[in-house]
Amino acid sequence: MTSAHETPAERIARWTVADAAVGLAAENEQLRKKLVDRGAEIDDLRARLVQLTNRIAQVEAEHSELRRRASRVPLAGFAHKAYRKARSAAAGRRPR
Amino acid sequence: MTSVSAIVPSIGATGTVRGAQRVFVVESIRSVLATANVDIEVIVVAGREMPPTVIDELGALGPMVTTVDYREAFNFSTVVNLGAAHARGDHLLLLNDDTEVISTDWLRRMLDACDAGVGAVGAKLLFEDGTLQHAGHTYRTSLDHVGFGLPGDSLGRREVLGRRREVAGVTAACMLTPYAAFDAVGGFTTLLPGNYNDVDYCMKLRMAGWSIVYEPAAELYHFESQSRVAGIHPDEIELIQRRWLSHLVDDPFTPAHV
Repeated sequence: MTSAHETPAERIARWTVADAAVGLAAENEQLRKKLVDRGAEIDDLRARLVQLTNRIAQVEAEHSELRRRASRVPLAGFAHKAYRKARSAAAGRRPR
Repeated sequence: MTSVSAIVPSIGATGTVRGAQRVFVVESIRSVLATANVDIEVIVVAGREMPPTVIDELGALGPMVTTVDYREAFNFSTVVNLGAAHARGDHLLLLNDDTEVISTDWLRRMLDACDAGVGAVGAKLLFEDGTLQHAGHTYRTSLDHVGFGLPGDSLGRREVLGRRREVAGVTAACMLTPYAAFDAVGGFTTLLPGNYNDVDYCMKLRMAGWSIVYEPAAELYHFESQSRVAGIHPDEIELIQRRWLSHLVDDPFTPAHV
């Protein structure tokens, strides 16, 4: 409220109070916006964490299955023979 | 008739314009009084450096020119508030002392632009060489003057430099603001003594529902040095961001490239 009877000093004092109130309200609004932003960021990170956790479980299952299958594959007799032959040929080519 | 109170902070500095030495504040006010064409008072807020001879020169300009002494360390906001506290006009015209009016109907145009709902009107300011110093503020991560350094007659994209339009803010180097608006938001914040006080003021007005308007038909010279590097204190940046950061990252009024 402006009063015609206010002195300049009284006007300035009133403006100082008004500016402080406006400034605090503005800072509070900025804090609230930042709070909302950080909340959304946390939600986003949590959702990504759930996605990653699910993906880890999926890859671990695939990994276990591959390991199980790999351990059960029998090495055929001809493969053993071919392997021994190749090793002996390689040994024969070694420099003396 | 609408009454205007011009608030002119000054220390009575002298400088050279178009090869001639002048006392900035005297010539600025002389050009204002010669063109105002409205009921006007001029309140010079005189810093402690102001030479007595300049006070005398100001007094000789007429009874509508008064001087208010300011003896403290410089704080632009405090100086503006002090001048405004002595004002009697319906409108305040904040004016730097290193200005000179170009367009004769400038103040009428600014008053015309200061419609209901408008909290501040800014002018087109040109450097001495005719290049653009101010055509409104734009707040898009950095806080800049629209079209800074372009030829003074540039229109810019979508004629943003050549038409009256809403802007994010305007400089206090030449700003018309209704006294009621100034009073409602508590004037200029003294927490920003040198920089961004006009940005803060415009943001306070906008958040309270007023709009800010650029009026290109109001043309003045602003003899501020083009190479001047404003000494910006980190506290000033911190405060302006603490109050308004989310509003200073995307300008809804001015395109990114003018």
